[in-house]
Amino acid sequence: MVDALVMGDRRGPVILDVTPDLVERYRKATGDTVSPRIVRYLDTDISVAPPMILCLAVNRAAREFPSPPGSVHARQRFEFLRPVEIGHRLNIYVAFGGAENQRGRSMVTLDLTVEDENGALVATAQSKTLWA
Amino acid sequence: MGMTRRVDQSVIDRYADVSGDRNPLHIDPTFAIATTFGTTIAHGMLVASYIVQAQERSSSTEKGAFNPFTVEFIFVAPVPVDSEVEVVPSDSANELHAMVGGAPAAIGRFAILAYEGAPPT
Repeated sequence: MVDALVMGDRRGPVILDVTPDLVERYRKATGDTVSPRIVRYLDTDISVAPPMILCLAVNRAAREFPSPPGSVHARQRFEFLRPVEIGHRLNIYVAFGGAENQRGRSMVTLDLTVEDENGALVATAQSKTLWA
Repeated sequence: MGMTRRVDQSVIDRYADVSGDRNPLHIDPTFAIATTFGTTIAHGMLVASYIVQAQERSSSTEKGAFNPFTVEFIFVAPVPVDSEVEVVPSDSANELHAMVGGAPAAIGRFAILAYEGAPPT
C-alpha cells in the first residue's frame, strides 16, 4: 500500500467545523475541565477550543491516506500559531511526506497545514505512524 | 502540574467516537487480543491531550494571552485499557511524561514560539 503513495501528494481541504457541540464532546472525551476557555488575541477576548482539538483535524485528514487496521501512532508534532476559535471552520491540507523502513514495517509521515476561513495559517502538524 | 487519569474502555470508546479514529486496536478487544499488545490500547492523541492539559494547568490563567507554541509527542509505549496514566514533569525543562506503571508511555516536549508582528501566513 505504501508503495502506491507519491511523495508530496497533497490533498484537501478537509473541513473541520469547530462547533460548540464538537468542542463539548471533545472536552468530555478527554476529561478537559476548562470551560469557558478564553484567551486574549489581537486585543480581543475570544472563546477558544482546547488546542489539541486539532487532533481531530489530523484524524480526519489522515483518512486521505488510510492506514491498515492495527497501525500505531509513533510521533506527533504540532505548531500552534493562532488560537482555534469556537464557531470557525478550519480547512486542513495533508501531504504524504514519505515512508521509512523500520524493522520491516513502514513508518509513514504525513505533513498537515490547518487554515482558517480566511486562509490564515492556524497550525502545522506532522504525524508519523507505523503501518501494520 | 501532575495529573492522573484512568483509561478504561468507555474512555477509549468516547474518544474514538469524537475523533472518528476507529482503529480496531483501540475499540475491538477481539481484534486487539490477537496483536502483540494483547488488549485494546488508548489512542496516542488521547494521552497527548492529557499532557497538554497538564501543561496548561501549570502555565496559563483562565483569561491569558494566546502564546504560539510547538509540542512534539513521542509515543514510546502503549497505554493498555484500564491503565492509570499519570502526567508528571521530567528532569528536562519543558518536557512532560505520561507514565503508566512507573514507565513513560508518552513524552511531550514544549517550546514557546516567538515572532515579530503578525503570525506567519
